[in-house]
Amino acid sequence: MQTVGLRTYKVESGDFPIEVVVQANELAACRGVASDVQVVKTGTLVGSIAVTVTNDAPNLACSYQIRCPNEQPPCDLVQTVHCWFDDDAPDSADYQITIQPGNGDAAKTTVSRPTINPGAAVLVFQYR
Amino acid sequence: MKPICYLLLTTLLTVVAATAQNLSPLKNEIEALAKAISPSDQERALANLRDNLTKATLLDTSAVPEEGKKVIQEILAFRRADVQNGATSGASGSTSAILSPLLPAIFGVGIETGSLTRTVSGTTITLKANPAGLLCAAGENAAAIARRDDDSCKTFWKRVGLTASFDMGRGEKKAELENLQTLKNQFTEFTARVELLNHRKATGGQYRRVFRRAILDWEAKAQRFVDKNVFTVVELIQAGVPTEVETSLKALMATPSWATLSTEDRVKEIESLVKTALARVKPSSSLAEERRFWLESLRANRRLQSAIANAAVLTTEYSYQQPDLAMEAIGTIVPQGVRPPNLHTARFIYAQGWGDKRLDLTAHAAACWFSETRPGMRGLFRDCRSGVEAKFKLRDIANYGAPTLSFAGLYVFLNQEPLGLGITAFNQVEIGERGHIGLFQAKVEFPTANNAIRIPVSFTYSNRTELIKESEVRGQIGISFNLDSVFVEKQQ
Repeated sequence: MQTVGLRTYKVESGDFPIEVVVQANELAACRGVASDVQVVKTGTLVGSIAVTVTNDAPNLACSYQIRCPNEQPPCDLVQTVHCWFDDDAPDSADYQITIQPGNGDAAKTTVSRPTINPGAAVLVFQYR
Repeated sequence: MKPICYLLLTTLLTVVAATAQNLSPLKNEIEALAKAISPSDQERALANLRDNLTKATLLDTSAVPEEGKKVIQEILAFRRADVQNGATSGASGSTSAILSPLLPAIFGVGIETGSLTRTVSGTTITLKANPAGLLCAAGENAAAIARRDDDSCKTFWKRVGLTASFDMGRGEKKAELENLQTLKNQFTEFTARVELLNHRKATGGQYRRVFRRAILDWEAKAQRFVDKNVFTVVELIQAGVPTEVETSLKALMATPSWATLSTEDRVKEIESLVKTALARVKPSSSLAEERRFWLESLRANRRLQSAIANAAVLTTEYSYQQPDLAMEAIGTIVPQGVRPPNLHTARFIYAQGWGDKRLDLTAHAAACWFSETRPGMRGLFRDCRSGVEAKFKLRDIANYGAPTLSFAGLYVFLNQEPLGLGITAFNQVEIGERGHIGLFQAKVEFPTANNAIRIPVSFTYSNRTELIKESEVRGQIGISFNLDSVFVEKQQ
């Protein structure tokens, strides 16, 4: 997996399944909500990949895996992760999203407290 | 959503001429980018701004019917009004008829003038500390401790708080120390408190257990919103908006003049570029459903936040009080210049919010004993008391916090002549007898400095005081400092 832009990653078949961990920092609980992954091929939505989120409440984290799409590359996988903040959360509270491919190094990105809940992170995986 | 829906959305998100965009839902994101200095901060802020662009699209009122505009207005009402650093103030003092069940997570100071059941008013300074919190705060994660994060100070002892009160009206002074008060003789009270239950600071697994119903409700609505929102995100990506914003903002920040611009000017430049990019996309009324899902998830989140703020707290405490010196002999029990017997008090305080309203109900029950029985006394038992308070949290004031308005009733049964605090003879009136004291209090508490400092002002009516059997109407004022916020600021 190669980071090619802001929250944009170039992946190959060997990178699947991709493990995504959402970690809450300075918050009472992890309240990250992930959408299904939308598969876009030549500008058209051609399918989606459902994700099953596992909560690790004691560690203020949740995680899920993204499996390899049925579609052949090239295609883009787009997912939105919404991160919710408590009213009394401090300015420094955030969510760290760790993207761990099947092979290679993990990538990390941080969602800060938004003006209006939720804080969004759009993850784009360019499957080539 | 199926591809057919995607195609439908594609037809509805059409590229149009420039329209006015409301960027207020991106205010914090834009300011964060304007203030970012290091490349990593800039990258983070840019990603957060770019990925929240759909909010501006969803809240664009152009081409939205009146009903949709009402939804938009309601969503905008959820914008963050203030920044609250540190834990909610739990400080209370002797000017309160009903004590708060919470102590500062680390350290606090209160100064109060006035009295409730005492006959003689005074000025009391109260120091409040959480010893375990202080020890934990000496480490690296003081900010988390100030916020009462369970995982940051894993010890039972963090539930234990200590307070010491000093009466500024006491103490003998030498002539050369006319302007100084000696603390030694001003000590009036020591309190040790244990939180038996505090769901308001539930974290991690306990958070999910305690607020299970509210979380499940919020989760279902938040999931529905994100599942809908991802299609709008894809639409924007297809229209090239996020890429345009990212590219143009990176180019802007790379210009030599960027470093010389003020934050305000940077904000204007960023807003101009974002508006230009967003103007290419006109939100359709078909986004109404997504907007509604968003609003419902925000409402569910508010219910969850109310459930947290209104969760149960149960505290027990023991206090040791050292009464004033008797200025005159009190019967055969206390000779002139001698202290009446010391007092021991056991107290339970329970607080619980009312549904999802901004109303907090607190009840307390206490019993008080003398440390010794002297000739003429009716035994050790001095009094018992119980009271309730209804505290309304008013609308938040930006950068200040939420003022509160509270009404409280307190009943005290004096089993025998008080002989306790406020024993000083008062206007030649005889010491009161055993009997019943009823008290009503109305109090307004003003926050300042993001709740770190609170100023309570109250008016009290009582049928009598401990020493005088006459009704009284009094005013009290105080100031309390929750120094937990200092630790938060330090970390930031």
